[in-house]
Amino acid sequence: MKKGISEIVAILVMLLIVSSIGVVIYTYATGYFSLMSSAITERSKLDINTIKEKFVVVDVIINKSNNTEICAAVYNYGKTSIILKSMFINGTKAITNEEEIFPGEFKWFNGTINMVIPSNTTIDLKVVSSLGNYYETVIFQ
Amino acid sequence: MKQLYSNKGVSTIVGSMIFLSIFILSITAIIIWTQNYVNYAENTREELEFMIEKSRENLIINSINSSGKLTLAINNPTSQTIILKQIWANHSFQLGEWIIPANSLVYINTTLDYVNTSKVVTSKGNIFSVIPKLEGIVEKGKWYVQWYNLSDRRVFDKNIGESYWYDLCISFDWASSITDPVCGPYTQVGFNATTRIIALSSKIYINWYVGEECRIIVREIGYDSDWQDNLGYVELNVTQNATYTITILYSRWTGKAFLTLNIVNADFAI
Repeated sequence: MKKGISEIVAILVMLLIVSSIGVVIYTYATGYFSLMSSAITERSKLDINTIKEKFVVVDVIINKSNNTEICAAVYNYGKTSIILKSMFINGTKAITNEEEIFPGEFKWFNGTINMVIPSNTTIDLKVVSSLGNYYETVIFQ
Repeated sequence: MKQLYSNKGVSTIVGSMIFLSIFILSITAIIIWTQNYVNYAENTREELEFMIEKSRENLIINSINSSGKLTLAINNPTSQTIILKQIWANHSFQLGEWIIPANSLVYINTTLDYVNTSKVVTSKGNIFSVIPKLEGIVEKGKWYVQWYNLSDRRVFDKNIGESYWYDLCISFDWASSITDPVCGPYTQVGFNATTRIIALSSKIYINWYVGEECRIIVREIGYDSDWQDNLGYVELNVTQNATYTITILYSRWTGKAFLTLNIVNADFAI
């Protein structure tokens, strides 16, 4: 009788241990796979948005006083909205405000640097979006 | 013993269920991962198609002054329809949608004031310019050459035509005697070639070997070589990356007609 009870107890204990380990593994696996799936999905969305993002600088106005202000007309010819983050003028980061441009629209994107660029020289202008795409152009003034 | 067999069955079922669940989860993750890559590949393919269509766009544009307003004569020589979204004249613009059918010429009347420099932007993001004109029709990336029949040495009095040269280095070697015409029926000829260059260094060197005479003028720095014969060179102090307008005059009266002219540390201005 005693032997029978200990067998049952042992089996129950074993079942409990195996089930606990199984539940732990299952929970970990569920979390891991769902995290991995969402990360892959997010990354894929980001990659797709990056390749869909298309813009071009169609016109540039240069204003000079104590510093140089560059107004770039940026046209979004892609299918997704773009957010313009920064502008580089001859490699120097300009002071800018973020601009969102919807598909098929264009907006003026302004940047200022604290230096005067001499006349009759070239300006290397680079406009960068939030997804890291950029458009670079050289302006002869 | 009977009890043992029974419990073994339960644990096998529990184990199998856990294994199956994890297996299904991993398969689901693989399917999601694959599907995402399929989506990415499909989008990449669409974007490549778009880029190909974009690169096929081409327009030939001439601007017309219509009572002070800008009219564009736009020729679409391609086999695809092109949609214009913006027209720019200097820094003024007009928005709209103008359809240029394949292989056709379309006139667009704008509300913009006529200026020498204008451009259009297509729906696919291409920009086509009416190329800025200097001294008549000097265009970017080439020499604009006006040909003359000379009534005397260095006297450019009868224009006989025009052409373009696409190499910054000029080199030709024509007839050997005065009796051979060097340009159509003309024996005494000259030309006036003008282009815009960008300085790649703070010094530009121009060397030449000419028969009979040439003259080099760089407008922005006030340089004029005066008429030169035989061979020579000049060293010019310029600003790096600045653009300059350079004009070459050539006059041939009776001698052998040839010219080799090379410009070092410069390229066509874009």
